Amino acid sequence: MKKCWIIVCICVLILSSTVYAKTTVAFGYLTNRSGNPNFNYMEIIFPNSFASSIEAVYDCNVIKPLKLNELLEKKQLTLQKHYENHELPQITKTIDCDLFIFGYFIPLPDNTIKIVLTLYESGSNQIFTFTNIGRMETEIFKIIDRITLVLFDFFGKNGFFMSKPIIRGSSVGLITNLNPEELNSMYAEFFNAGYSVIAVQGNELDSYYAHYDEIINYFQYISTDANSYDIITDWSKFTMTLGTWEGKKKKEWQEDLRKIYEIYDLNYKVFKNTVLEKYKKVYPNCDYLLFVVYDPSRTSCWARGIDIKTKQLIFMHSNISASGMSKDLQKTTRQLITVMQTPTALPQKYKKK
Amino acid sequence: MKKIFIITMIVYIGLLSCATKKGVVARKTSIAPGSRVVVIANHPNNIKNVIIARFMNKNYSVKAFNASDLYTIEDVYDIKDYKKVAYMQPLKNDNMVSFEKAVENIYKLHIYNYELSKAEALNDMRTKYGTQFLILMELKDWQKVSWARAIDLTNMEVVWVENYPAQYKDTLETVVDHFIASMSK
Repeated sequence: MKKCWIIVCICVLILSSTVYAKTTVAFGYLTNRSGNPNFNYMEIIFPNSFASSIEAVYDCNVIKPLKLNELLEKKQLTLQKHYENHELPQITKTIDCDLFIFGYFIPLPDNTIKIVLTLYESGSNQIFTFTNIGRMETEIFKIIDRITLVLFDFFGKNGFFMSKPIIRGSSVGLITNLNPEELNSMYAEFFNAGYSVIAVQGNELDSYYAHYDEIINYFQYISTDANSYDIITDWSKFTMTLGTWEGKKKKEWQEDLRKIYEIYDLNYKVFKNTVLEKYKKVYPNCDYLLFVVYDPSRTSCWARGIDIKTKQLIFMHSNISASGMSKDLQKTTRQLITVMQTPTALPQKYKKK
Repeated sequence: MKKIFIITMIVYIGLLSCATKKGVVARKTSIAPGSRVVVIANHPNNIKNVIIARFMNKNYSVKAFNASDLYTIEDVYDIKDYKKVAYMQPLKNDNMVSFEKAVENIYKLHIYNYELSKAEALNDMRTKYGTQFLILMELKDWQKVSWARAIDLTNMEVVWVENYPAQYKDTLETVVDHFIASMSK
């Protein structure tokens, strides 16, 4: 009987290991946007380095740019240096990869380099873009490590991103889906952890956001100049059958729709930056604006953090949950505070390599 | 055995109900008697009078400001209807994602702006009324949690919060006195 059990267990283990499919991460070019062809050689070197680093730290198969180009050529396509966001669902389908990563770099004055990477997860319709700046020669390996860490965090830790920790002593403005009583409990946890809380939402008798979860959930997607987590849109697919038979009213509506697109999609970041600039004056002591949305049982939350001074997305986590049996709002908040104040790092195994 | 089970369940339910009525208090600074405060509580006038009277008795300088003087997000602009309006348009399209994103961005900008408008109103409260602290308060019946919060209007910082589960012996006056004692510690 005992033997039978052991055999069954071994079979289950073997089956589970064969069923498990590794994530395939494909790397496109890192386009040289400097206009100086002397830097062109980096277009492949950089993605190759990122691919090797992520392979060492994350259990995945990687496809490097040259190999990717070979795969595409078999389908009478070539790997482009740049893809528009709306092209990504199709390209990942063609390559049959889980993740597609590409980007660009610009060498900056004082021997630094700016690297912008875009990550697309197949079938998600969500795009994550982040920027990293570092010294060209002395820090190039540090840049690669930093970027590997961002990739590792994002894919390995529930969409986690941290460009810098939000340390104790900072002032935070909190926008949440909590009712006033719960908001007090959350504020108390921030006080106890050594933060100052700016009364952003807290200046209300009743919380508007507590009643409209749908609206507060829109803040899952935050686009800023350097770092963004956003939805891919393609207005070219948005068709309207209009012609000479349409009256004046319909044409006016069409014009209004065009304006909506221009203001609230195309130029949204410009408008938002103008508003955030005002935050600096109205809330001069506020360092960070945090959007924290809890699940109905308050045992988990997602969070996004914007640095008010730089107006950049600096912190993101899609699922923060406290450990242990009896979870509640306070425990979840304490876990959030722990996550946001702890600098992220690559696993020890990788460091030894 | 059955008795033990029933007793255990009663104790467990009792503990659970206590857990939902947890008191919370945290403070950054003390709001001493003599401070110039605005107390906002959304209650009938007779209750508001009791609240203000308790503050006056403790030597706070209470500014004449009423909760009804403040507008709410819904009075200003009924933004929540916007999406409904958007969907009522005859858009025969399979791909609504682009339009949805634009609509969501309208909401987001509205919320960013709404928080600015509130802060500007509070700034006026400080400059025009000479208020130092804004105190928000909601008093509830027994078995529920009354809460209060204070904001330092010079830097918009939350300086005191308390959730207070009312006791059997509590009255309106004792709850307000409890809050005053807590914030002035």
